[in-house]
Amino acid sequence: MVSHFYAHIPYCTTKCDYCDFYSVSGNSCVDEVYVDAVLLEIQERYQGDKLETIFFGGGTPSLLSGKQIEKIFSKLNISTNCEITIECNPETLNHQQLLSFRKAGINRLSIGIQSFNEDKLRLIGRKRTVNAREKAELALKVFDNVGIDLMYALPKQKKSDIFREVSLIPQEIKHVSYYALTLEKKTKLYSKLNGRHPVKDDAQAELAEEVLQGLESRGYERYEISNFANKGYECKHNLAYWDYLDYLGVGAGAVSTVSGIRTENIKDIGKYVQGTKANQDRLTENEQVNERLMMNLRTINGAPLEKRFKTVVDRYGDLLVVKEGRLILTNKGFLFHDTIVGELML
Amino acid sequence: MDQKYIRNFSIIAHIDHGKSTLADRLLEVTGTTSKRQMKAQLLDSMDLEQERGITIKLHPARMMYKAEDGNEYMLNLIDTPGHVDFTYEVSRSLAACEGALLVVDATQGIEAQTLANIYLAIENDLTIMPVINKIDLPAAEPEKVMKEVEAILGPSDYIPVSAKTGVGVKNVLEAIVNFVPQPKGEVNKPLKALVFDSHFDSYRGVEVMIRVIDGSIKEGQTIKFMQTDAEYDITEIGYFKPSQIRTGFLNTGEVGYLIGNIKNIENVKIGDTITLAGDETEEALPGYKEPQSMVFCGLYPVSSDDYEDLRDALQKLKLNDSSLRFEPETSKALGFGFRCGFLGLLHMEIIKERIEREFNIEMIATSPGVVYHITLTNGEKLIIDNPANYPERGIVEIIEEPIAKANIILPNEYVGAIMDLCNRKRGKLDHMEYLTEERIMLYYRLPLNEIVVDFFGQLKSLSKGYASLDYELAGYESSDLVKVDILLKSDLVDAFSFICHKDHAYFRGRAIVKKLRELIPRQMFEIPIQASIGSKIISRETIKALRKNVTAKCYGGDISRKRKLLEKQKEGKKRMKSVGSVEIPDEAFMSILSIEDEK
Repeated sequence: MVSHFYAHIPYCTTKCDYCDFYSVSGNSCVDEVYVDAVLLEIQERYQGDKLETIFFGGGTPSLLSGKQIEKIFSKLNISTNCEITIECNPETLNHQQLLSFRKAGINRLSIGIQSFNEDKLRLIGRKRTVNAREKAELALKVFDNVGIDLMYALPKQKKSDIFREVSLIPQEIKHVSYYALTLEKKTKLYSKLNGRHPVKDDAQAELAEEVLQGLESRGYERYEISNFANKGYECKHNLAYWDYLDYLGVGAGAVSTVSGIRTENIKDIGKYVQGTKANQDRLTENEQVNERLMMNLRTINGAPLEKRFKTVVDRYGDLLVVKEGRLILTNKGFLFHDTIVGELML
Repeated sequence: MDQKYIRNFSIIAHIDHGKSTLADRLLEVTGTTSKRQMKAQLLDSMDLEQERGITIKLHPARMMYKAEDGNEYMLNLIDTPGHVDFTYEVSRSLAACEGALLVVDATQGIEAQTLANIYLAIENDLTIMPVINKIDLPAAEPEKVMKEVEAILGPSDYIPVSAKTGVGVKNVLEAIVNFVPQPKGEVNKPLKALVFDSHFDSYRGVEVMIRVIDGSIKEGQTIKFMQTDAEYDITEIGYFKPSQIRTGFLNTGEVGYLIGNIKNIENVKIGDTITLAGDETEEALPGYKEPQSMVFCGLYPVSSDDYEDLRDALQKLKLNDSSLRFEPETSKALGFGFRCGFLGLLHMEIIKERIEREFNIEMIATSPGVVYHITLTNGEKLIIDNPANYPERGIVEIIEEPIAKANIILPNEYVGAIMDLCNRKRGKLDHMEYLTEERIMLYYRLPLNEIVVDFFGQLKSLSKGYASLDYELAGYESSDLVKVDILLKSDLVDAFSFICHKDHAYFRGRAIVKKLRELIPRQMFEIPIQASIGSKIISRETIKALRKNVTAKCYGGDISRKRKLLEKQKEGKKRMKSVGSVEIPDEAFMSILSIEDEK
């Protein structure tokens, strides 16, 4: 059974300098041939299992029209309580479009705001010509379940900047993903900064602290390293990844994991449309154990405790807790997730 | 063959001056081997020799040559290893000869190592014949090069050759016949043969290379090694062409090999005298010395799983190299490994490289050290080859260190830079000589422990590769030396301890501490790094605690990549050594080998 469905929409109007997701810029809409190819892939790979979550990621999936989304949904068996998210760029968001999304069946928005501060955005190569806060409020007029993405560890960012950003989050926003700016190789930003992150680790840790305090004071609860939500508004689709459940991903560059087989579609719209075969890998037992740990430990549910964890548990006392047979990282522990997972991996 | 018709000679040359090409030509012109065979047999050497500037050691070879005087001569070529660390082996090979060809590149001139070997040849009373090679090159200046040669040998004739084109090779053969003295052994005396080399073959045991001085030797006889008193029955005897040709006997003045089911290479010592059991010569040949380890270091496998393999590798290398010493050693930081003794720096490099290349074992080598003589306040004397065994400072009365006599040949434009280097390394200039107007020879007395740490590299870089170095042990001198320890989070890391002159202790301690701060990754806690002499801290740095190590985003599309990153991180950790709770990457152990001195 695969209950979680992802569609990758690698189209953008402009590419942001820090972004390392597969996408092609210079597009104001999504090609019909691409949607057709996605439909074909669904036909080939989707077995008709009832879906509990659907997620349109990108790229800028909000470049899809309501019609295109409807076309895709017509091929899917969607449960009544299905969480259906689409990622949006505030830049192109308008009321008409929001209504068409709602009409198509979308019930959750994730808006990539990154920062309410346009100057900071410019420093990391993202153009902003609209008022992001107004766009978020516009979205809230059409949708109840709206989340936003923000970034910290932006160049020259101070604690007070974080405080301001957090205070600008509209009251009714249910979900906040707050990521540290990550310098990924092969991005424009990476070469611009010569591979050196503008904010040192120590300062990043301080900013992370500020993010946590700020969001908690606004009533959001942390449920994953970078994700915060009002109770009941956690992103079910992403929780499925962290619970290490199977998921089907369609579209150019999309990844699926089903029954221990990882499928990676080609990162090339043209070749994808022509039907180039995806790359498939069977994960070994150990790889699966390691991945499950790595994903599980990202959330406040943690990972099932095992005997072999004992030495690590003893060694990293203040970074983790054991609760009801699960190993859970503390807030401090989340900052050392990679270290601890590394120690626990087979 | 009558000794009248035997000539035993060796070739002295610097790397790339054309020794093997000339040897090839000699073999070819005398019809000993075809060109094709030679490639396989002679140039059988390690890349390392090329890289490190050691000349390739050729197999001995017997050539039959019909000279212009109408007689047929037996010419035995005995080669010498071309590096200072093997001075003793060189001297024994030379002792097996009556003459030497001094091959010098007509475009280059004499180098320090060549010079050292010339002196050895002179000490062994060899007739030296200068051969100026590469005269076919446009840049050849044989007259100028001969000036350098004459500065050492006095007025001499030379044979101009081009080993490449073959010009002059015949003249070389004639010169060997006419100028190299014949052997003057006593045919009727009891056997006296010099062991000048040996080789271990896993099927046949030790193959001993000998020069018969007096008497003769046959298969079936029982021989005795005079130093070790070991006796063996000879099962095979013959000469080299350069492949082995069995003859069953060797006569007075001849050169060849013998095999006698000798499994223990320890019984076959280079420079030893072989005689017949029951008909012994009264006196062994002069000049025998026990090989002495001058440089020591610890060798540890990067992965502790490789410990047994490392032991095997050392044992195998020792089969062909009795001068290599090793014994098990344990380090708190590095685990199980071996303390190894070498003839010199290059010998150490060769062994290290061979272990890595031929046996594929990744190793950490600790900083090379020398042997110190220590007299305690209670009069007790200690010999220390490992800083770990250095006694407490308070009870040391006198510490003496080995001093090397070094000679450096270089173009005069680099003299200033090299003299600065030698001064920093506590060298004392003995004197200097002009080889020619442009090339100078410096004679220094340098503490050996300064030479073993990064001296050669700096010498080469400061002189753009033009300076060449040769050194030999000149004795011990008392010196103000101290042991410097490095502590990580208050734990002493034994592998970082070193002994140096008091005046250098602060600088080197500080340099290592700084270097470690760069190389040791931040960990979950703060790590103070200290350098100390006894209980006195001379330098301190702190590695701040790691504040975060987390991947911000991880969703369905990122899982494989992030897992691989973590796996890589884990793999890297496996290569770390830990002392107390601190993890130290293996580069940290290597890096302290190249700490530069204050300028």
